[in-house]
Amino acid sequence: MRTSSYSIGNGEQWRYHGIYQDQWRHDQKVKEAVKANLADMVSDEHITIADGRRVINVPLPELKEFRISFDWQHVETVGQTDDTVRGSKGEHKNSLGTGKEGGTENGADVEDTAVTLEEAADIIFERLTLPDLDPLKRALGDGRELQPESWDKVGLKSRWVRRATLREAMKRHVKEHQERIEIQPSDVRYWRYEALPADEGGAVVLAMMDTSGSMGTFEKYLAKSFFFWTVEFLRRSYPHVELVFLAHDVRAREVDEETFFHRGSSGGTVSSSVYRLGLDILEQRYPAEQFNSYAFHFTDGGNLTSDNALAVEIGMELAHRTNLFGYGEIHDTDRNPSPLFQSFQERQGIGAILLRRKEDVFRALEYYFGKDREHKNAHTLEA
Amino acid sequence: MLTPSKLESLIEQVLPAAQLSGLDCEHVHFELVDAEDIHALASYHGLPIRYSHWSFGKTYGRLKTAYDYRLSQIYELVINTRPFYAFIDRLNSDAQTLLILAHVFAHVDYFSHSRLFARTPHDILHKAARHARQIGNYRRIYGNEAVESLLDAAMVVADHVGMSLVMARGPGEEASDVLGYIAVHSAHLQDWEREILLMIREESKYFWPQRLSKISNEGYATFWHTRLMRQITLSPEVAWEVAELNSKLLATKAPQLNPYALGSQLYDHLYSKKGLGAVFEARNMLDDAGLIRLALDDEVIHTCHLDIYRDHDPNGNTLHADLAHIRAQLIQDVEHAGIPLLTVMAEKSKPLGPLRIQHHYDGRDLDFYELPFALKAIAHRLWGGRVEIHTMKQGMHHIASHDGTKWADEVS
Repeated sequence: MRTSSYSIGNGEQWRYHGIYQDQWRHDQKVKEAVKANLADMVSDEHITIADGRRVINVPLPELKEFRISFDWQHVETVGQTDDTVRGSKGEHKNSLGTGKEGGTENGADVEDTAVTLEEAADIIFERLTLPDLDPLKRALGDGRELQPESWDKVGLKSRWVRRATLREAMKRHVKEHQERIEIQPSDVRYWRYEALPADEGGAVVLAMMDTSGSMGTFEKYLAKSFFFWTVEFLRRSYPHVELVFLAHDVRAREVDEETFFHRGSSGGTVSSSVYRLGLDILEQRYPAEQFNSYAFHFTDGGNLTSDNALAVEIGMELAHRTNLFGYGEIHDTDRNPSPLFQSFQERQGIGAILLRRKEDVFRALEYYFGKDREHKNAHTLEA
Repeated sequence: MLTPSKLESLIEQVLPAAQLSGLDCEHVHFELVDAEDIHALASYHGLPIRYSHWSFGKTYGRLKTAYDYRLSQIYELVINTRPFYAFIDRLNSDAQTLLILAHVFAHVDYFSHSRLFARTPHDILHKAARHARQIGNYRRIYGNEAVESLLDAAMVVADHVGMSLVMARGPGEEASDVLGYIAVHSAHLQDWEREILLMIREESKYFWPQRLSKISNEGYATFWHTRLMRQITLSPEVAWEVAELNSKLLATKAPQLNPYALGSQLYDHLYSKKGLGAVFEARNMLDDAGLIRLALDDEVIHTCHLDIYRDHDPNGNTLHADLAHIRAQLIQDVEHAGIPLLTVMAEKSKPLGPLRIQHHYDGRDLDFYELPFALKAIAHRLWGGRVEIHTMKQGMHHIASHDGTKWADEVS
């Protein structure tokens, strides 16, 4: 028997920072993979339906570590039956490792990453920016902010106002005919902070949708996911985003969100009515010098032929009045675009797009808000 | 919480008993660390300074999550180097630490005597650190992307580095060194890339014997910690806590195989039938497959509740196979560490032609879902051309191949 010795350390030099780097790289790869699956995520029904459910699961095949291995789904292996004594408590997997972990834990490698809605939005919006934004338009936001507003004779030293203090000292100097200017404690002025309405920008989105009989569940669903992400996106840029829901068939009316998305309707389609209503509402409630305004109209394109000329005219008016006017036509088949679509397509200033599949919602977002909007004048979005 | 002085007093209780029992405890350096550090270490498979790769970060995240939800816990970690390193979670209680120390000393004894570890480098920590530094340099020179994609591809075949540390079972060990063959013979690689592949190969070779001896090594350590805890006088409270930890370690959850439970049963069985000499002999000579061949009889199959599972189905869908079947299946499961045996068909693989790999089929089909991705990585990043794998699937000969852009699966 050899003589045994041992030594003990308190783990001071065994702090691992390297692993955080590797973990960061893994997270980054998850993000990249999520990005690759963006189109699917944007049109994920769960996101738009449930507000309470803020986490989505994204399967990420990209992150599997591929090996040449046995097909464990179809291979027999030897295992142990559950402990009869401990029963279901046996689920603890403990190990006194010897350096190499695992190796036999097959099938545990399916990547399914939970992403919070915020993270997903970060990734999606990374490529988006506000178009044609006029930063001078500032509406009063909801919030209040502490701002240095006036001066006070008492206060915290850190809030000392040099200029005002000096002026007081000079005034006293003149009044009292002193030889030199000396700052007395009574001269010192401090900033007084007051809670003022936050002077942030505001935005209004006119969500216009055709609710005529021909608009089915699919069309409404696409419109809904588009509005969902648009509003999420605008909320990032503005503390205050107002939504106006305008439903129309032959007649347009302002409705609440619930009615907008769920209530069916019938009848034909007169698009000019909703543009007119939109213009009126902007005029009355959202002064152009205060609000950036965005208008989107989703329809299946079945506008009454007699209304087309008027719709184009008022539509153009709306386009001038707003930062962005988007016209989206949703077809679930390969129908040709409507005459209204073609008219909008020929004019400048209106983004007219066609949506055919779920993934097109993501393309629509990129089209309207994409940082790289060279294709803006292409005016079509081919599926 | 454990302090160095506390740990020392616990070692003084365990070490003499271990030595009296005949365990050879070479110098062990103990480090008290936090759970977080032990997770990081385990993520690097025990090499504290190792090259950087996202897969380690992924493992770390998993271990940490499992720990946070108390699904698993790593109490200690031993590195097979000289001196031996043992990392102990400082949050272990005193009683738990007694058992863990006994377990550590048995591992150390196993590493010192097992034939499998006779040729593992004793300075692996320095080697790994040098690899980390060099790969880090190449990252700066050639960019993260180039190095990462190389590592990704190399890991596909990193486990196939030959079996020079065990008795040759296949047709020549040179040919089963797929990674080494690629590193040397690929016409596509630059020198620095060959160098990185050879570094990975060296680390894989270090780990390979550990993968062949999971059951025997853990079983041996469990066998001894049980015995040593009986030899040391324990207060009832301490004895209770020791027993509690022991039962946690031995718990089984279908359809998994608990190497601690099975391994210790095998050694127990050997001991009761042939005495301590047989236990030491098994330690010296046998890997998992050997130990099972020697010691797994019907009695152990019954005590360990072994059965055959399919499709990882824990809901009792066992086949209630006959004992010979279970025995044969278990041996197959652990042989070659549970991965397919691949050899390079060297006479048919020319540097500028396709790389031909033979899968030595044993009745288990390959995973054809993964295969295209795996072959693509080799073809695209390592070989720079067509890579073939000759295998069987549902009784038919298949040649699966990928040339970097196109996947093909031909029946021949």
